[in-house]
Amino acid sequence: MLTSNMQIDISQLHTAMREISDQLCQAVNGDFNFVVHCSIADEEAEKLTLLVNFVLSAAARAIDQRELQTANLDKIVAERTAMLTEAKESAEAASQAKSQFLASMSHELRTPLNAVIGYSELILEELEDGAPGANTHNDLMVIRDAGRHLLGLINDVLDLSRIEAGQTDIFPEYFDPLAFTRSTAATLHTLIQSKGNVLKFELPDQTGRIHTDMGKVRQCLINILGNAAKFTEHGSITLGYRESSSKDHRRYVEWWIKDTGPGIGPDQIQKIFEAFTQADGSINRRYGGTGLGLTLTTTLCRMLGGDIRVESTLGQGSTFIMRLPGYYQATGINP
Amino acid sequence: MIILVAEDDSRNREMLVRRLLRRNYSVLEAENGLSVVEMAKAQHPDIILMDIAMPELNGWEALAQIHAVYPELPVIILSAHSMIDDQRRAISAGAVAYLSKPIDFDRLLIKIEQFRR
Repeated sequence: MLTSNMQIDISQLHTAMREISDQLCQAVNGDFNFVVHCSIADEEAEKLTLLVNFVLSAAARAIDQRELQTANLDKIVAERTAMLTEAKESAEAASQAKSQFLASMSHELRTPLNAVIGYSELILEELEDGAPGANTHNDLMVIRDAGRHLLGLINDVLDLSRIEAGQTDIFPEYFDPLAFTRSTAATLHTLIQSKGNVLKFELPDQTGRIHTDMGKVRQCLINILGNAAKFTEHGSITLGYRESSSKDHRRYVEWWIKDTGPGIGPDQIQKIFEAFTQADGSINRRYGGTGLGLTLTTTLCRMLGGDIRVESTLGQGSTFIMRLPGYYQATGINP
Repeated sequence: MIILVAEDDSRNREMLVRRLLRRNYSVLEAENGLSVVEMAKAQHPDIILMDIAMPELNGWEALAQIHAVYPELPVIILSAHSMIDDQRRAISAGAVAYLSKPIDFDRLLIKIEQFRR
């Protein structure tokens, strides 16, 4: 072994270089995660060893970093792919729902139109024969009813599409919910009595004012009360109001409409809030309605930051519960 | 010449029946899918005009059951569904024609004369 102050000879220098290069062979395989040692005690050889180790560790660090970045990139790519796939699927589902809605809409328009055109032609044929039939009066009423039904359908569809397009504004105001509830029910008095039903109220003696869009709440209540009146015969309809608070300690108010009608079976209860899903086509003919009332009501409730649900047992009537924030706030809470 | 009209909407059924009676056809009425199958078997109509969306048994099922017994009995589908798929489906299911509502009555009369047994 040489000492540092001694002159190094060529063969030892050769040995030192081979020692270092032998160790460096490991790097050929792309592994830079090691340290080179030199057994020759020479200042220049030690310096070289030091520099080689510095380069090795820099290379190892660079590779680690790149692997980390690649892993991150893979993760990001996977995440984005999942997001895009989800967005694509939901767009496809929305498009499918839209086509389904259009198909149903077309069907719902064509049935009353068939009556309008068919009965008009029938009356014309009879007039051309010189003698209007004994049924003309009734036939004209069929045409008028079908026309009114079409108008209701068009109004509901326009309402829905305006909401979906974000063209419906909310006008919140303060009002007394009890007076409001009584006056809304009064507008449906005739319809409720026409099938021998009694309207009952379950309202608190007094309550604080609420702040929301009165017109939209009225539209929702009329829809639900109208349904109850149409589906119930010789029974009762109860309209109630109460305050409730939620887990987040916000003030909520609830209207509930309970009827003694036919009730809704478990197989249909999920579907009734979807467009045009009155249990089957014959319900429309027996009870009227556009098949959009509950869809519209649900959409309006959500706009106001609330929701609507139903509890029902077949043969024992239904209770619809509409829940809204007592104070409507335009941002943050409402979707 | 007996025409069997199968339609669950009473107003539209009555209108169709009255217009056919005015043209001196004999008309039978069915208001759901089950009764149209029964009447096809019992009353031997010459042609059937049938809606698709009917209770009990829909038009497609009724059509299959009728053709299982009388493969040659002509059936014209009258439907408020106007999608092109329904028209294709009607023809491939063995209907002789498909008319969407509102019904073009003159066209219906032509089809009745064209396909009557």
